[in-house]
Amino acid sequence: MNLGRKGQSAVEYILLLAVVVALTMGVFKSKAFQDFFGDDSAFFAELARGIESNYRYGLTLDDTSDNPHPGFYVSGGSRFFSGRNAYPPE
Amino acid sequence: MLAVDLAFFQGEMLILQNNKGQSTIEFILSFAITVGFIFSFYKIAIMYTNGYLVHYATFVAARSYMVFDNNANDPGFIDGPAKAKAQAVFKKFNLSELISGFDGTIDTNDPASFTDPETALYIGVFAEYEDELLTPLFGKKQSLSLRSDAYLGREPMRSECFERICHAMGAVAGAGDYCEVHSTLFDNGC
Repeated sequence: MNLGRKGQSAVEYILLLAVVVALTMGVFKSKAFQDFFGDDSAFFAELARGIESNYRYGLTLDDTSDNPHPGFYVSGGSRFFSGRNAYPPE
Repeated sequence: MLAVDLAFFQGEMLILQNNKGQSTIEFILSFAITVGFIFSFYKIAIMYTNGYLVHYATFVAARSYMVFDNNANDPGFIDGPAKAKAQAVFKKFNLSELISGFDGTIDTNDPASFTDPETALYIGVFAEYEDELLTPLFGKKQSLSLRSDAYLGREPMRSECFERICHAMGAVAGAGDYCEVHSTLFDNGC
């Protein structure tokens, strides 16, 4: 019977690795982490909405329902101009 | 080195008693993270470049849509061919070959549908396409719905200028000898 301590470090390494892997997987699989970084997470969804808004308007906007294009229309006015009436008149 | 090899061939347990491999393992780990960051920024840079290219293609299509005229007698029959022309110009950029997985479509806001002075600002061309935001460190993709607007409007067509001139001349002629209607004929650049 071998009573040496040759395998102690290996066993401790394996046990420690198992604990670290379990803790890591626990964090990565947790609901809080998945809600923040997982599929369809709030963090990346918000990041994507910001990129989409910047690409289209040049501005980061949360809601454009009351103003279809803030780059054109701001506070009821616009820096662009167009004919007031249809052309040619009826 | 020879001693280690002999120990291996003799079937004895090989236990490393030094930390020679530590720097190699650390290098491999840090290299993987660094490569992940580099590819993340590379993908974002490509995404922005693709976005600029689609913006430019939409803008060029909007220019064609703005000035297109096929000399039809009725202005109502020009917007459709103008849209087809804008789509053909957009297609010439061959974006499906230049951008991997490009599925963009182009459409128009025509003058007949945007007659209100406020909404008339939105006459022009817009393109919509999907892209993905890669996050290698987290191993996921976030889809993006991107839209490029180019609201350059539509220039008056020859038939519209013709109607305008006829309207002014009719106003003068219709007034008879009394000239109750004041109307001025001038070249407005049509």
